[in-house]
Amino acid sequence: MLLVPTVLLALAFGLVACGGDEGDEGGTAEGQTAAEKAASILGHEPAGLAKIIVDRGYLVVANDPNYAPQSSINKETGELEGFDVDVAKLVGEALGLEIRFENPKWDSVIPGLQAGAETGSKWNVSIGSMTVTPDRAKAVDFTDPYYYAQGQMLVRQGSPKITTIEELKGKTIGVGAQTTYQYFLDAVGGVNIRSYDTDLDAFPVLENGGLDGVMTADLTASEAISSGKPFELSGKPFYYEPLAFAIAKDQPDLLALLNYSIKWMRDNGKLTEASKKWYHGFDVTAEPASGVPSYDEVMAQLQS
Amino acid sequence: MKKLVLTILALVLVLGAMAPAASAAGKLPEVTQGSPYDGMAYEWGVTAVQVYYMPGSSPVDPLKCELYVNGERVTPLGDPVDSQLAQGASLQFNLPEDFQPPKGELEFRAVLVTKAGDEVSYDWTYTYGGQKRKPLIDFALMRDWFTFIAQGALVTIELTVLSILFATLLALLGALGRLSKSTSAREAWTKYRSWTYMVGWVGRMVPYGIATFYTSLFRGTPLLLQIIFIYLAIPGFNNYAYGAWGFKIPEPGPFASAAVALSLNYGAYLTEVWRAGIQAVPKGQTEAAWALGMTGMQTWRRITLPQAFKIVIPAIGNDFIALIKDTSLASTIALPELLQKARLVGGRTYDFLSPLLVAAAVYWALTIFFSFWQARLERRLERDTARG
Repeated sequence: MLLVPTVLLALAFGLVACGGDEGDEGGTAEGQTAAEKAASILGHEPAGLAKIIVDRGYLVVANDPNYAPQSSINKETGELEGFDVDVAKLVGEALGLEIRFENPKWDSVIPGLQAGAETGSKWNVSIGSMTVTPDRAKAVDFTDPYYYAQGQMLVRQGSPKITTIEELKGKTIGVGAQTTYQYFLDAVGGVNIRSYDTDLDAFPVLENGGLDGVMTADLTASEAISSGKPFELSGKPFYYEPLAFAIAKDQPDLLALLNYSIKWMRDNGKLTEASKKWYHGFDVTAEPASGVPSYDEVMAQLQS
Repeated sequence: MKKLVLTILALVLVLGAMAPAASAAGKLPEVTQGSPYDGMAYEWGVTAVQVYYMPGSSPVDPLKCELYVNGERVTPLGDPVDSQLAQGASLQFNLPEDFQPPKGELEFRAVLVTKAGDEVSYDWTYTYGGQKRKPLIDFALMRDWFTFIAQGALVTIELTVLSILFATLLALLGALGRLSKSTSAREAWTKYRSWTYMVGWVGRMVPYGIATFYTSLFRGTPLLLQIIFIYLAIPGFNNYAYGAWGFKIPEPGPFASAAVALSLNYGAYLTEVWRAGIQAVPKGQTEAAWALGMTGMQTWRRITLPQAFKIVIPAIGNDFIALIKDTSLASTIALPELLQKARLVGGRTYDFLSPLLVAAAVYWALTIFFSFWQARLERRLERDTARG
């Protein structure tokens, strides 16, 4: 019932706020290129969400600027920068689309993808280091992985390391809400989990001794250490996770276009270049061959 | 012939001697970067030095690894920590509390020693600004990011002004609705005993019902819920409508969603304010206007509304100031207003205290500014009364 007055006011404000969008759609020359490009990649005219996107000429990317070095804001310009941001721009280059960023909270990324499935509204793709998990795959479709990270424990300098599942029991661990780290610790059981809006919100608490550890991606953790947080990595990761773009379900053409863009930036070396730029000279775009189990393997083991 | 045999023999010997040496060396670790490095997003915190490397065939022995700053060996706090990353590895030297490097360009050298006994050294430089650990309140950070955060104030003000305008108008309509019921059904029937009158009475109950429902709903649910609901529910509705009926309604972005929710929520509260304001105008005023021959509309426009307006101004001013602060709830839908911007800076610099203090100062300044004008406006209205 909230909808009735809401819709009326939304109409009033929507006209004011969204007025700016109209002008951009006039860029037909670029829109044409994107549509033609898409047709040549797919071998047929794009349909569904892909058609809406190539016709209007821009792709809306969901991305959370709270995760350096994947995505954060530049001090001088206030613009987004980071690995995920570079990857999104490469997608734009590969498909001839303009890239627009939206910065929803992490837990509304998937609802937003689903909400825009038919109309192309909200955001069309998450390029935000989302781990491919079977549960999420029920709600969204994933592209091929574009890079890999590991779930690491971050502890205070000099505190006991937490590297085994036994050591996790009874510990108070901070995680970002709805991250694989939370799912993993849930599956372990007996862990006192504190979930925060983002992994970063847990850092000050860890620093003050309110947590025994924070579980996050290895390079996110490493970045916090260089900035002067008195933390250290626990050494041994629990699992590695493939990270991919996510889109609304049942959009085969959009999925094919995005997979094409990932292959394009892999083949021409631009993906590796971006990885080396943001990740200390490492090429994180290749699957780790270090004997660390994958997220799926660990979860299957825990659940059996 | 003899010479040839000797040469071959010598070659075999030499190669034989070299072969074990070559295999012992194996693949050496390769350092890809040392941290701190120039161009980092923030100043070095002087708590740790990290060396990123690709492991060789023999693992690194952290206990034997060494760190030099400006040629002097640094004794790390505890053992260096070797961590396996998704690609490569990092070796972290924790620095002792009392470690204080000089300001200016620092020369770092890390020596990685493998379990097989091979050494790899890596040199790099970093220009150190002289800031020892992060201060509790980082004024340099506040200065650097002030403009970025303060730009959020524009969005906050825009949102506040638009919302209070719409809320006031909505509330006026709501108040008229709330006031359209004069008597209960039983009273009306016992008083008039007329079915025609009762039909009119039911007609007047419709706006009353709508207004009562509206204020009850929007005062009875959290503002935060309303903001998130509007932001996420309309796209969901559209998605369904587009699939089922082939149309969609305009979708509010973060700004429009927040403005709609704030207008509706504050409109509900201000409805009661307007109702009280209108009722506070003495009945004699209306009766006098009628006695002078004014029509209902004239009475309303010239007598009741201006007097009610004067009564409700302080309350609207109060809500305006509360609204300034409630716009911060829009940060949950990622509207780049003051609080959201401060949090972004926190995410970037790993320091939440300093940017939040900047945001708090800006909010406070805004409320002081608007309170001042509210007081001026109220004094102004007082003066009119004294004159009248």
